[in-house]
Amino acid sequence: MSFVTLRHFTLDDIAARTGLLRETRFQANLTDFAVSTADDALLANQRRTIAEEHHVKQIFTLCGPNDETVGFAWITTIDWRSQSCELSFGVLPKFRGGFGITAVRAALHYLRSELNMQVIINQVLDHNTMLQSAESLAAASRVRCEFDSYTVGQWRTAMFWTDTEDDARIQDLKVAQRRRDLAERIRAKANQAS
Amino acid sequence: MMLRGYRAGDLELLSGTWLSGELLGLPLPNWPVLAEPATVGPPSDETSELCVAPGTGFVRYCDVDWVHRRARLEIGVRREAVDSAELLISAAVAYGFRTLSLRRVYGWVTPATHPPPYLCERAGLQREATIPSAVWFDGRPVPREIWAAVRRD
Amino acid sequence: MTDLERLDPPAAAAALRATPDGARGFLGVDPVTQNDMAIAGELTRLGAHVFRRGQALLGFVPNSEQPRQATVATTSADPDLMTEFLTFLGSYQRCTSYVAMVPSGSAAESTFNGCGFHRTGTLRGHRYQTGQYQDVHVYFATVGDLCRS
Repeated sequence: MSFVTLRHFTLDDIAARTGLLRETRFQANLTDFAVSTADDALLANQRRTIAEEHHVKQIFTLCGPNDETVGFAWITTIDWRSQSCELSFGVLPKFRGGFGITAVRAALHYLRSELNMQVIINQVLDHNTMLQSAESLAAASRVRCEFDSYTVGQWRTAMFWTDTEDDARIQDLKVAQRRRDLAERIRAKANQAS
Repeated sequence: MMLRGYRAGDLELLSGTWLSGELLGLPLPNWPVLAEPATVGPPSDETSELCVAPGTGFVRYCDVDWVHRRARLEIGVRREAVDSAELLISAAVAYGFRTLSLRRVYGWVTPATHPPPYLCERAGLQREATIPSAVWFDGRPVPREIWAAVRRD
Repeated sequence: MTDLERLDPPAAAAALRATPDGARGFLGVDPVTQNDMAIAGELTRLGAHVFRRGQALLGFVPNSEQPRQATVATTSADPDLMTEFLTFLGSYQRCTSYVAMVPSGSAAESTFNGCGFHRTGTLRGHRYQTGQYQDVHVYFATVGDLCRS
């Protein structure tokens, strides 16, 4: 059971997401366009995404165990014909470090099993450890692109990789193996104690 | 037979004397003198894809649903190109599977219009369901069938 | 059926979202894969009419090629409620026959069987949900079938 669930982004979520777009670490790690964008324009932009751009861009609200908003995920560059899209995350500051892996897993599961996406493209700036550690980022990355974007006064390097159905299957097998190993260790400990 | 995307110059291919919405619209005999020909509009949104086979007819993929990966097929054949209907329907199914990457194409077949049944079968389509009284034709409600092809993955 | 409350498309979308699971595939929309604005837009495009009665939602789409026929859907498993709704459609929309598209294995199959519908075919792999393609059964009934049920 995942601790994070996704639901569709609504008009009521706009204020929380606007706050996130204006947050310093988010701006350095993803994009800083919100600094020079007026409040009205940010509001109109997100309303338009909800009302008119469902076919090309979708935002989801990430909810924690008590249904509280912990952040947002969004898909862009949706290629319905090829069954691929680009996935991004923004976690609210007070929940960073707590929900990274489960949020990613919940989003990937939804995109595959409900939206019928087969290839999910990830792009993360290499100094961005809001969602995952530098080590796991380096391990996942397949393509490194210097001077990818310019945020908060600096050129940034981006890491790219994809998640396919095969990756999901391998990941599921690894999780199952880890569970079996853990159960085995607990059983061994219990046997020693008795 | 090759399909290509619709261009403004293909407008005359979009109307004819077939029953509107039919999977394989063949020109009907005894078209009432005062009746307007059936016409489909040029593509207007992301729920449809419109292709043509120049000189032969049009192929429209309606109600395209990318989650369920299916579309409803509508074909209209020119009177002078009826002999090419078999090639056109096969090309339409192949284009749906290979180019649009759909998993299922389906459409309406109205037995009262006496379509040659082998045309759909040869293109890999099967009859899946019958809906009685589904369309008004020749002064009365008549049954319509749903025929479909599903891509083998 | 005087306590039938008509919902406009935005209200219908919100009500479908509030109905767990039962609303997936209702007249072809899906609250899991579509946001409320997309559902409202699709209901408008289809020319769908949606009603609330108690906890249940009921809906129909007139067949534009044959106005005496409608495609119907419900979020309730109660066949009596559907029978009542069809009687309402017969009285006020002058419908004489009804079609329902029901995902294979869903609770709605017994609902439609229970109010006089019979299966006239199966659409193979017509829907994708929870990681799998699923068949959709086509059900049909005339006003006469309903009287006999």
